[in-house]
Amino acid sequence: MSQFLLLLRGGEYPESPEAIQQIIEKYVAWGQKLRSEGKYISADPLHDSGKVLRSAGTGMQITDGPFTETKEAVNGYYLLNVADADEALETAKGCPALLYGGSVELREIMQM
Amino acid sequence: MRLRVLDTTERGSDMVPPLQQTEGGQVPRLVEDFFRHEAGRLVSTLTRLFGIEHLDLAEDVVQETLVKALRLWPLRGIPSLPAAWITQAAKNGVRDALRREACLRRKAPEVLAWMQQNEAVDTEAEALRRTEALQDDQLRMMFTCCHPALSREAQVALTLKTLCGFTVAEVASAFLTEEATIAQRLTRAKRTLRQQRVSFTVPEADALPQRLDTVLQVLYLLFNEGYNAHAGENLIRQDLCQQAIYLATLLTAHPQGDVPRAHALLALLLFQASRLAARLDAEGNLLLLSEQDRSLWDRRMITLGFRHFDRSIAGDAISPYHIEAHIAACHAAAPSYEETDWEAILHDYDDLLTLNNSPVIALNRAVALSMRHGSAAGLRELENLKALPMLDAYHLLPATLAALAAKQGDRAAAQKYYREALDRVASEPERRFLQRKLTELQEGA
Repeated sequence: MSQFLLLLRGGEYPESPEAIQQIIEKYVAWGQKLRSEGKYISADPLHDSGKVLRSAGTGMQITDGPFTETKEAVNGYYLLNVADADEALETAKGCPALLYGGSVELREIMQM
Repeated sequence: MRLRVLDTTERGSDMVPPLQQTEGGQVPRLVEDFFRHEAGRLVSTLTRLFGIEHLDLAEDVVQETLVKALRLWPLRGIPSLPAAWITQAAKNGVRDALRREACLRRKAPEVLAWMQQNEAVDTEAEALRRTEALQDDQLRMMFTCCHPALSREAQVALTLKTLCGFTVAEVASAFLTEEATIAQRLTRAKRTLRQQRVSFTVPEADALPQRLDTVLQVLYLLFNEGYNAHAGENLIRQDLCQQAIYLATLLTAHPQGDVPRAHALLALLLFQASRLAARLDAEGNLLLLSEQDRSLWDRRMITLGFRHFDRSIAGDAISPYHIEAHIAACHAAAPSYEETDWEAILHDYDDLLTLNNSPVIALNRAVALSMRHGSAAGLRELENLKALPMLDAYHLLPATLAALAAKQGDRAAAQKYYREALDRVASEPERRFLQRKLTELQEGA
C-alpha cells in the first residue's frame, strides 16, 4: 500500500446555481467512489491566504501569501491510500478539479 | 448516501413544496432548495438578533457561511445533518462578527443566548417550538420586506434577496434588470428601513390586514414573474414560482397568515404550478392549455391546491385570489379542455371584472365566452376590446383573435392576426409559439 497526496491548484468554477450544483455533485460522487474503494484518507480545502516563513541570514523573513499567483497556489488536497503509483495516477485522473481547468499534483508520501 | 435535506428542517411534509431530486437521485438540489431556504431562515433570525439596522451584517454572515459550505462539502463530503452544520457554521461566523463589530455589543446578550442554544433537540415539543420560532422570524422578515415605506419593486427585490437567498445577480436576472440597478434598489430599501426605524415585527392587529394584502400581492407578483417567463427558458425564473409557493406556504401555516385569502392565493399558485411541466413540449415550445398532456400535471400539487382552496372558503369575503383560484380549480378538475366547466369560469371572469375592470381579464373572459357560446361570440367580444388603448401593445389580443378566427375557418384573418401578434411579442418561447401557429396555418392552406 502507498499513500499519495493530491495537491489541487487553480480552476475556474462557474457561479450559477445550476453550475454549483453540478460541481458539488461531481466532487461528492468522486468522494463516494474513493471511500467505497477504500482509498479515501482525508481531504480539505485551504484558505486562499497564508504566510510564508523563510530563514533570512540570522533571522527570519515572514511574508503574506498567496506566494505566487492565486492560480498557482494550492487550494485543497486529498490524501489517498492506493496500491501503487500507477493506481495513484489512474485515480487522480478522475479528480473533478481537472474538469474545471485546475491542476492536480501527485506526490507519494515517503514510507520507511 | 441518500440525504434527508429538507427533512432535517422539521417542517411538516404537507407544508413543503416537493423537493426535486437530481438525475442521479443522490445529491439534492442543494443550491436552489436547501441553500436558498437556509439562507432565508438564517438571515431572518440574525436580523431579529442584530436589529433591522444591521441587515447587511446578517446577510454577510450568512453569505460567508454558505461559501464555507460550498468549499468544504465537495472535498469532505456532505454532512449527515446539513441544516445543523450550516447553523453551527453560522454561529462561528456570528462569534467572529461579535468580536469585529462594535455596533453589535449592545445586542450581545441575545446573540450569545442564541449561540448557546444546543442544536440537538431531544423532545418533540422543543423541536416544534424551534420550528415555530424560525417561522416567526421568517414571517417578520416577510412583513418587513413589504413595509409600505418601500416601493413595490423594492419590496419584491428585498423579499428575494433576504428570504429566498437570491444573489443580486439572480434578482437582476429574474427581473431582466441590470445588477447595478438592483444593488442600488436594495441599498436604498435598507437605508429606508433603517432611517424610518422600521421594527422587525409582524404588524399589530389593526395594521395587519393591509400589510398582509401587500405580502400577498408581492407573492402573486413573484409567481407571475416566474410563470409568465415560461419554464425552461431560464431556471432562475422557474425558481421564482417555487419560492412564491414556499413563502405562501409559510404564511398560511402561521396564525397571522392563516386567513382565507392567503389560502386562496396559495391554492391558485399550486394549481398553476402543477402545470409547469406540461407547458413545454420536448423542443421547449410553449403549449396552450388545450394542447397540454394532462397526465403530466402534478397531482400532488393539485391535491394540495384543493386542500388550501377548501380552507379559503372559510370567510365571507371574496378576494380576487378566490376567483382566480376557482378558475384554476375548474381547469385542474377538468378531464379535458372541452369538458371544462366553462359556464362556471365565465361567471368567475364576470365577477373578476366587477372587482377589477382590467382589459386583460376581459380578454380572458372572451376566451371562456367562446368556449361556452362559440367562437363567433368570442370574436364579437374581442372586437370590442380592440378599441382599448391599454391593449395596443399586448400580443395576446391578436393572438387570441387569431386562434378564434382559425377555429371559424377564416385562415386569412387568422394569419393576419398572428403576424400582428408576432410584431408585439417580447419573449422568445412566445415568439416561437406564434410562429409555429402561423406556419401550421400556412401549410394547411
